[in-house]
Amino acid sequence: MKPAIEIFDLTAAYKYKPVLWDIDLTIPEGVLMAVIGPNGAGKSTLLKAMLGIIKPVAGTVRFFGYSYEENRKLVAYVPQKGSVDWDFPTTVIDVVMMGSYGRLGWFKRPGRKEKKQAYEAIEKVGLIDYTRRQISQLSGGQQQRVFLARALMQEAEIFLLDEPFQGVDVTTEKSIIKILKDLRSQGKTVVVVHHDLQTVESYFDRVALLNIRLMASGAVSEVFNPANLERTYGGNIKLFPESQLNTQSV
Amino acid sequence: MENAITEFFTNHTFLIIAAGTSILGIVSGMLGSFAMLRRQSLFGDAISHAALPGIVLAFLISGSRDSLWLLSGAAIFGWLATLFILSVVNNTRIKSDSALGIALSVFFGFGIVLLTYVQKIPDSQQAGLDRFIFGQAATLVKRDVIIMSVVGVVILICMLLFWKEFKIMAFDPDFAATIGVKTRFFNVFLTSMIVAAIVIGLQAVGVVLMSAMLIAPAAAARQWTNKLGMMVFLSALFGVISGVGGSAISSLGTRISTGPSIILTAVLIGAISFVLAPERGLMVKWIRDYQNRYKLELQKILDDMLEISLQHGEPYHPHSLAILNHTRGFNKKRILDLVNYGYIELVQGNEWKFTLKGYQKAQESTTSNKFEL
Amino acid sequence: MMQVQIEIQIIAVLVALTCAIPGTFLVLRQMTMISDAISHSILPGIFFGFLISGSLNSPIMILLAAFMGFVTVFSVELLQKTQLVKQDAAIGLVFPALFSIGVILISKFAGNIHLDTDAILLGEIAFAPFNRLHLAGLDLGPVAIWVQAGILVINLGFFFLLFKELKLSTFDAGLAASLGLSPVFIHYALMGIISVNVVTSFESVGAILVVALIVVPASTAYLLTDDLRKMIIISAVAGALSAVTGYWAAFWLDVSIAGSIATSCGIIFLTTYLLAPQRGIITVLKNRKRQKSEFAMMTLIIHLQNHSDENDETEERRISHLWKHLAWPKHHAEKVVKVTEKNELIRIENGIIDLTEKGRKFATLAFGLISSGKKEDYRELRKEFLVFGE
Repeated sequence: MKPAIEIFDLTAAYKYKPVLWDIDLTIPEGVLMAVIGPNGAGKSTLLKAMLGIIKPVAGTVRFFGYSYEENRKLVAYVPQKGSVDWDFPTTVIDVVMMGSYGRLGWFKRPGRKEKKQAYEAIEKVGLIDYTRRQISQLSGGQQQRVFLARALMQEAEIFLLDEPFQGVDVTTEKSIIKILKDLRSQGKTVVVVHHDLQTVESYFDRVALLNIRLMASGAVSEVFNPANLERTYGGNIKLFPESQLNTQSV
Repeated sequence: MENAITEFFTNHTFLIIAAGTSILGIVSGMLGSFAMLRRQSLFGDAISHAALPGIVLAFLISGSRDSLWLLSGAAIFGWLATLFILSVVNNTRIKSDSALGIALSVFFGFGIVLLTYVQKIPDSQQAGLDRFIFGQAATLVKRDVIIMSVVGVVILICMLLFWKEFKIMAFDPDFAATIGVKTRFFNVFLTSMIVAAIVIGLQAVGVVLMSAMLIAPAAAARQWTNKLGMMVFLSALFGVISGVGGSAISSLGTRISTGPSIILTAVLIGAISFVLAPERGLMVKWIRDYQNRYKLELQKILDDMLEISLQHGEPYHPHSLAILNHTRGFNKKRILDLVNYGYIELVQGNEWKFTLKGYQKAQESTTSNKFEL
Repeated sequence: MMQVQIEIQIIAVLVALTCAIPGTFLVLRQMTMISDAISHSILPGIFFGFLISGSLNSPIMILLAAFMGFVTVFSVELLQKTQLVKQDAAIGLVFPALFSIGVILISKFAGNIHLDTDAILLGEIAFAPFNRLHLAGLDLGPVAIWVQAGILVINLGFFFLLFKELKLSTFDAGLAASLGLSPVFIHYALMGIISVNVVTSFESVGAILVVALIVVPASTAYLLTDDLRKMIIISAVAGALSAVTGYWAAFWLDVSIAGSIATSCGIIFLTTYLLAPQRGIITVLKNRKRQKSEFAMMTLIIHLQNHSDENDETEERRISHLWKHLAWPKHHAEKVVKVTEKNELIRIENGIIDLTEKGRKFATLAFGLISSGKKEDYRELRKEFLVFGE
């Protein structure tokens, strides 16, 4: 059985400045994995290059052995929420339904079956009361959940999320991580570009440390240590063990 | 007998104008919605100005005033301008607003040069070309309307067939790319349709003002709905009203160019929409703001009254109205309003005291900070 | 050359010079569209001013029209504030509306006065010399020259006085604000002077040419220099050049002077766009091609370095492997390998690629660079190691 994601020699550049260099990474099926690294380390670019949104200079990516173009249905993408015009005339249910467009292909319209699935997805992310709201009326966390619901619609095996916890409220964060953990228990593979080092250990099983090159990757317990962090972030990173924190554990 | 003929003729002419401007309205309404949502409003301005040299060159080359030639010339130059703008923006540090300004002024200036060159040719036929500057719907003939209809129908069909793709491209192009929508193809497709929409409107609205036809109906429509489909439909509807209405108005007077009247009609519809639309409209906002301020004023007075009462110890003890002079927002009218709502009672004309209802209300407002009348 | 011809050219050059300075700032502040908007929407102001004063040169008209300029800017910002439309749509609604009102007013009421719609767009520079200034029995030349020269002086004064403030608020609005230089005030002051410029130039050259002279020469200059002062000067020179060449082309071909000058601006821009050193498209494309090649080489070298330490990585270093994992099309991969070999960074034996000593050094340096990400170091690296003989 092929691993969920295989990345070979992935190199990407922005105006001839390398953003990703020679990344070799294998991600097995059924894990919840974080991708961390400093700003500008290429984390978002990694996802975009995997999906062909950005054309890499070199390298290949395989999902269960297929290229992305061969089998798009396998992968769902949840972008950073900043990338969309929130004043667009569209409602929550509308956006979530867009998740079915890929499956339907040309000319076909979404029907009753898709609508039912959309309601289920909206229910799962806890936005059922907001179904008909125009999206600018939602809070940041709710907007993020709409994108997640859209991804759930895609019936994919692999989920790629770009900083889903950035700027969201605690309730949203709790509900999102619960959904991601559920996905993992269903055998899905979830890869998350993550910004908060404090939560890596409690949320994820695996982690990849990225700073243009792949610094380390593997199980959190093995790879998430001060030595690797220092190599990746290039400075002093202090992590407080959770016992010392006064925050609620999620 | 002659009167009857004249009557019919006039009617027929107006039918043509109405048909032509309706198609113009529908097409610019539809495409304008997408252009506006993709922040390409001013891009339309550059394209329409750039069409002028295309129109004149087409005339020079073909020797004919036929719309098919002229509009093709307009479309070609519209596309040239687009390519120019994209090339400048992608390859140099010149920003898009400057690139638009360059395309707009230079192409148009060149068009004027060609126009003045053509006007020297001793041939009465070419005199009609400057109608493309400010538009003259009265010059539409049956053939023009047929061409416009064909283009319009093609655009309509394309929009319906590829609705999902256009919608998702406009809203979230990154996501669209991931689900396999060929974004490059659809970008070109959409731009071509925008160029076509502009080109078929030029005869009625003129190059200088055409861009507003892509914006005003769409901006107006946006205020009335949160669904893209409805917005596009309303936009087309407003476009038709502007087109037909504007031409009708301009023909009432002497021969004024139709461009300005169509545009003013469209902008008027826009202004009305901005003010009157439910939810987004300014009127609704103003009323809500006023109501909120009103409630806040009453709430403040009640809060202060509560404080005074609490100092005294007995909640329903009357106090002199004069004490309230020192509070914020003291206002005779508001006091009377409070009486009307049954929250306080006036005693002997110069004192006030809480009613049962009022005292409860004041307590509620202080603890929960919620205040509904 | 006849005197009339000289005078027309002088007027045109004066307008070009007047537009060059504000044009530079508008291009840098990305606000050129506002100048297009103002040049259209002052029309009602011109109508009323003309109605009241009966002449196109009266200060009343200038004032009214300048007032319309402010109205335009305010209306756009007000509209934006409502959040019902975005800025570009707001601009695209305000100026056509005002312009339409102006056109209707003029065609309905000013038809018998000497003011028609063509003149609005194109000005009547050809007739300007016929309106002369007579003082104490002396013919002092066309009124337009005096007015334009006056405006030029006002402009020079304005921009000279506010140069530091404009420069700072254009490049760093935050810093300017914190230093007490209200960017808002500067913004409106700039809009004000633009309105005045547009209005006075309007009569001579019309709406379209004003926009051309504001945007195009300044953009041409933007492609040629990084220095603000130089940009203004080049902008002025380009504008003046366009004015003169445009005039002569119009004279020779007997066509619209204003249109010809605008076209001339465009031709000068196009030429610069193609040929400018550094930023011209020809140079840019050449550089791009070279950069792509260099980058591919670096990718190859580093890839080899990554896989040269393990023994069973020989597979990764087969030429045939390159287009499997790097996903390079065969012919592209072969080209890159050839160039890299020419630079003596690699050596090929039995279809397997090995790094040379030079190649290894290169790879190590490149690795360090990636982490630091400094652009200048790349250039050093390239100069030291790479030679191109395509």
